[in-house]
Amino acid sequence: MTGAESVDVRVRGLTKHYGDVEAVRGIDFDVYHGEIFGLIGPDGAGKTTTFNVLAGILDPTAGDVTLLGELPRVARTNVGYLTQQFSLFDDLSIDENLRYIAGLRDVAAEAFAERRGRYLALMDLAGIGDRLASQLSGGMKQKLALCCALISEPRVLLLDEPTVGVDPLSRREFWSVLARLALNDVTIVVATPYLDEAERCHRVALLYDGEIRDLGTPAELEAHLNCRRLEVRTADVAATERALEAVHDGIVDVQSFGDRVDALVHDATDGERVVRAALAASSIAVSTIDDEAPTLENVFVARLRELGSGTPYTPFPATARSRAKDGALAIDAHGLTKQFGAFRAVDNVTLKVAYGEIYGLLGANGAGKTTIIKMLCGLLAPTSGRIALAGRTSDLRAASLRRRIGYMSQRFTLYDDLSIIENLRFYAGIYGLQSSERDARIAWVLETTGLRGREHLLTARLPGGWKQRVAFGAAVMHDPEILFLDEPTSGVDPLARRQFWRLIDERARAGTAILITTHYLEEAEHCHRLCFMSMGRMVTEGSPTAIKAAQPGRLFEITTDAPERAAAALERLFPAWRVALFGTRLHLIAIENVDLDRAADALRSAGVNVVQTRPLPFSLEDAFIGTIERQPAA
Amino acid sequence: MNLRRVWVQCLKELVEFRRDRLTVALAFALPIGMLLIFGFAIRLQIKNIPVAVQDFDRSPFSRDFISRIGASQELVVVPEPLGPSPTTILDAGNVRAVIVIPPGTQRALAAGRPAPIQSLVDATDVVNALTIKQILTATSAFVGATYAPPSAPPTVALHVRIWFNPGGNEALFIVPGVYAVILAMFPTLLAAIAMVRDKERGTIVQAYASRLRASELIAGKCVALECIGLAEALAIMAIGFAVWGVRFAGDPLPLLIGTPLLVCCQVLLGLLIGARMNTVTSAIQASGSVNSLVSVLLSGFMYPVFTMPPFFQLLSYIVPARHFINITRDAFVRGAGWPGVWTEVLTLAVIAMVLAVGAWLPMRRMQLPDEG
Repeated sequence: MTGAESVDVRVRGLTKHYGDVEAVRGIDFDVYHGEIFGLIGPDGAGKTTTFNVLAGILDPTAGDVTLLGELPRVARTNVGYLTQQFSLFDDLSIDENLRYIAGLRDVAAEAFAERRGRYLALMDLAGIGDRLASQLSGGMKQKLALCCALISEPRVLLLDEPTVGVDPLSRREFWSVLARLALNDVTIVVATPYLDEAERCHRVALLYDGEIRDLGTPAELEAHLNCRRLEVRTADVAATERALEAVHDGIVDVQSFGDRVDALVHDATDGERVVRAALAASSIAVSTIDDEAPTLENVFVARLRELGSGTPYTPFPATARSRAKDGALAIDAHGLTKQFGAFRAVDNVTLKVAYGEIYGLLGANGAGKTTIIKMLCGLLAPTSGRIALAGRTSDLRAASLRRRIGYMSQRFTLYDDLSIIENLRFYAGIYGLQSSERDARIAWVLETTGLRGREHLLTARLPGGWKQRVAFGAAVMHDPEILFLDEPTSGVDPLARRQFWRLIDERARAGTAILITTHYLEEAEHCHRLCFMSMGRMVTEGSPTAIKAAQPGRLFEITTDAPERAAAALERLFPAWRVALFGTRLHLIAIENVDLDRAADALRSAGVNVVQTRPLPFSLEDAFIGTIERQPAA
Repeated sequence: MNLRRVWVQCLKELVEFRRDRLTVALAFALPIGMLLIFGFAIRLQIKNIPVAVQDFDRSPFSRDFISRIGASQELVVVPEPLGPSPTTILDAGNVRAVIVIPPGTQRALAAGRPAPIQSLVDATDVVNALTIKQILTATSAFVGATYAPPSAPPTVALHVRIWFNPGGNEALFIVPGVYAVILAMFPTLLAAIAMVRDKERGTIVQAYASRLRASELIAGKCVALECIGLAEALAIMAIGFAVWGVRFAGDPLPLLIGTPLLVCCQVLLGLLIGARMNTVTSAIQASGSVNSLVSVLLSGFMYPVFTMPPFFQLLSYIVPARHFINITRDAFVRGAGWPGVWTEVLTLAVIAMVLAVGAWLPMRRMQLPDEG
């Protein structure tokens, strides 16, 4: 952070009402020059409203907002704004998009030519200038949108959830670019639902219900929480979670991941004692308990719980029905291939999912995940390969089979012009639910989504994250034996995502086979097994723990006094995927033993003082990015 | 207004238009199809109506009378035996009218006495019946006057209909009208889509967040769509010439000025609709229904304006197509030039200015609406 004294964005008492609705209620914050400032908060907290006011395209009801010392409308020339929706023109090429935005912002022709070359190179988009925006992948689109926002060389960048729907690899690259921009005196305000990304901000404000509830560096926020996070690994995750949840004294929060349970405790030593005692009482054998720092996600969830957000967990009102035994295969696909013209979307994929199992499909945008799901549920005929679904090998669209399958597609499957209850009744109807079951199930969906009492609201009026929850409810309402979920949590805030996963875990325990895709690698930890896909092929398969253990090299966290300079020095030495900047800390993947020494030398010669170096366990995201990057290029 | 930003906006619209096959089809294939259908299929005029004549007089007058009826394009004379009564003939349904010329008609005329000719008209189709009645009245008055002594009071022939179109070529009447309807409909539709699409996709926020002014945004879109509209005009008028031989009858200048003005009016109307709507679907519906109601029904394309109730006549003055139809019909049929249509050209210019303000008003703040 350079020149921390000068304030580029000053917000005082910002208030915005839409009719009776108070979207933002008097918030204050300053963003310093060259800072990356994060806005995090649940859906509907007022983030987008704040951005629109900062961009000068919405008048505040009250309060003072200045950017670079001027009113937002006046400052517009020096501000770049990347909106939540893709703000590109699909029918225009990369060059045409850039030229249009440059023209709107009065960029001179010579300056345009120079910047165009520079930013396209920075974003890895050089050489494809005449490709239409509609033909770009999600990650490339967002990088182009960032190019467009940068073309006028703004001094302040406003980024509203720029990485939603973007794969982890592109996201990491995107953030590396942001870090570099901040280093070059661009002030950045960014909103994100990915809290691992928020860790890379210099400072973060937690917005809830139109008010700022916490503000500081990620480390400060984590310190404010005054807690430690214990990673508990046992043989039976489900039983461990139940046992720890029964403890009310000494454990703040419990969350289960696929192969471990995280317990948030006030004191590591006391906490570990409480955890061990509780598990011993349930006669569960503990493998390891690791003491870790809390994450921003812990902060987010704990703060929001304090504020009374979140909806109570309601068990699914299942009616007894005969089920295939655990361990039997629900999905058995062999040699699945799909060819679209000259493009092979899916290439010889073999995949088995048992009843009661959560199986994750992970991969970059365009890796073939959605195509696989469409083939498995019979919406798309494979070019070759065979599929057995619930034991059936032919006529996958048969009504009797469809009733046993649930499918939630990437795009909203609800009818905007129907009310919530009408949507639910419609889906209950097409899945042929008995009327006695129907009312209980609809009541359950309303209960879990927290929409009881608002069921007559038009679906179009719901924020995106809420629609997603109702769509999930609609997909599981008929208690399917096999559930396909295609990015069910995209754009959903962390608290709601947790609830999603509780429901998913619960359905799996009840014997449902679940195939899920997601861009959130930290939630992929919930999967029992998962596979990484790249360019239509399966690259790695296994449990989250096994995949992380199979990673070559070790991960180190390096804390320095000049993080950006340190990152630049290390990026000259190692390929980009092995170096990442998280806020003020650096992550480095050391493959050879000498790598750490070489890094230390490089930092020393760059004049950077290393404060601390410590090994970290690999996250699934590190594993994913490493695996994909090691693939030979097509 | 910064002209460079207007140009940038205009260029973007043109490139987007060119890439989108659907809008290109909407701009050219549909209008041409419409022109061909209207040009070939729609016939307002009635032709070749069979009428029977029972000639009891058998005089030079009656022969002259019958040949003159047959010479008109509208009626065809079917010879009929003198035996059956007129009502029986009509009941048979082969003819639409029966004319009875009683014996001694020519003598009566020559003596200056009234000479009644009886005709029975099938009025199942009112329009047909009125046409037949009109032709018979006119013909009998005209032929009657020839055979009456010069001292008799003069009879006025009212037959003015074919004055400007001596060949009776109806395409000359229909096709210039279709030009007006097409140029009213499609530029409006395209403009409404161009405006609302940016709003629906959220890309308009980029324009809001820059220094682009509402006037520049509207001017840029307007210029782009004006180009497309003029290309459309050129295409349909070329086809009109090639297929029906519709060519300039007089001074082309009023049309050359009036066409850009009409396209401008319609584009601005489309932009106004687009600025008020939030989805492409609603904008298409709005511009479609406005134009099919107003530009087809109130423009005088099908129903002459002067036959409408006073309120609708007054209302029709704000319809750009109504003024343009007079300009095209003058340019291609009457050929009277400026004296006949300068008011129409002027009115189009005024309407364009009013619409420009109308489209600018909802956009002027270049901000998001306040309802969230």
